[in-house]
Amino acid sequence: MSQQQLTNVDFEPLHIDHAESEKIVGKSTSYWKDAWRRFRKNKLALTGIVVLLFLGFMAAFGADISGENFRDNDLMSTNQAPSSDHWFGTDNLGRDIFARTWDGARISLFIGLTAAFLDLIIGIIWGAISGYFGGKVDEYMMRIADILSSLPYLLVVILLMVVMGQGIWTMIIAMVITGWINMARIVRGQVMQLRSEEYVLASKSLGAGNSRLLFKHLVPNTLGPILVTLTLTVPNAIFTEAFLSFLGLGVPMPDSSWGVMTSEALGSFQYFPYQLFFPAFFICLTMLAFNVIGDGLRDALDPKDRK
Amino acid sequence: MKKILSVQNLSVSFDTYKSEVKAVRDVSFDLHERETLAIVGESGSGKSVTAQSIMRLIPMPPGKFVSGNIIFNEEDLIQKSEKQMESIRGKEIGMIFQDPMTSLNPTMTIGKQITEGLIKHQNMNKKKPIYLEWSC
Repeated sequence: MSQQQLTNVDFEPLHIDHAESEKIVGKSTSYWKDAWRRFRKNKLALTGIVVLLFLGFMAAFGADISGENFRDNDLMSTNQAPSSDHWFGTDNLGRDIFARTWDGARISLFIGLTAAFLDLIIGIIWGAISGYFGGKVDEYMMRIADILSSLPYLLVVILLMVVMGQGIWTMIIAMVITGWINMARIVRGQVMQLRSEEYVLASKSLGAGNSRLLFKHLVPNTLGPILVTLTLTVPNAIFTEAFLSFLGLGVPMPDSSWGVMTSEALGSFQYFPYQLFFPAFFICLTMLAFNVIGDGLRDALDPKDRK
Repeated sequence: MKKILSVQNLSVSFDTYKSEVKAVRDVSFDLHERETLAIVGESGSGKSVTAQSIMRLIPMPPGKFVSGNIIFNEEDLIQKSEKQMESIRGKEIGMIFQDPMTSLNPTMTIGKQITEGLIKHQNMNKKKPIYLEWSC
């Protein structure tokens, strides 16, 4: 075994360039960029977005593509099967189902998005205030919410209909009255959990007031669960609209909606199944799209799941 | 030397379901201008509660001041309203927290968090860049 000669030089510390080691490795990404990167990996959720964009586009322009009007009767050609004249066929009054489907999409999506949006606004404000202040404030605010959520939804709709008459806004308001509570509960839970975080205390020690702490620090940190709940609220609202219209409590004539169409088609379902198929298919497609997007968002926005 | 901060016979307690927890008992100290004061002690001996009491950052309830005064610039901080405290925190008295991982908001940029206090207290413009100066 040969003996190795060690000199002082071998014990010299390696040269470390501090300027070099302080350089940031990799691009810095914001929270949302990072979330989008993770979201993009989820092919199913991306498909959901594409489907939704398509539905949105068709809702905006689809009714005009076929050149038929959704409310024009053509009594010479009722209950037609899908053909080159009427792409999705016609219903029992000879109205073009293609045009009606997309006019219905417009109304269904409008109701779904508006109701979800109003839920979001009221839910965030109510839940954040309740969760942040806690104690007596929380107690009273949440009991009010509990009372509202214990009201049967159908009863609210029927009562509102007596007061306001049948219409889109009646449905939206009825949905919001009972619907925002879910959002408020989620925001409240999140805020309660986050308000004891150190960065809230740190910001408070810099002199930040209540409203700043709430809406600059706490609410942005609850956005993940809020967005996920939102994407699940929209299909729920759309489904509720379809359900109400199906019962005859929803969108009034002559407007169409997917619920109205399924309701009308059900009577002749055994003879003309395509009349039921199209609206039912698009209800399912929309619900599915929103659900997979919500699922993708939940994975993408969870900061604990970062890779 | 001018006396800046004077804590006199400070006692802070927390009401718990079992009983009253006396976190700080009869603490007194003075802090003068150009002086550095370090408080050293075992964990749980009440250092943080003392420091947070000065900033009035103790959640009340369950916390409460049992006795004592915190005289800062000849004014008793215990008597101040929450609004008055907001203009003292971060302007007259600052605080540096222990754990950088949890003391920073994950959804806000560092730049925003650093300038948060300055924008609040010095009426600085959000659009203009802020140049920090300090002397040792």
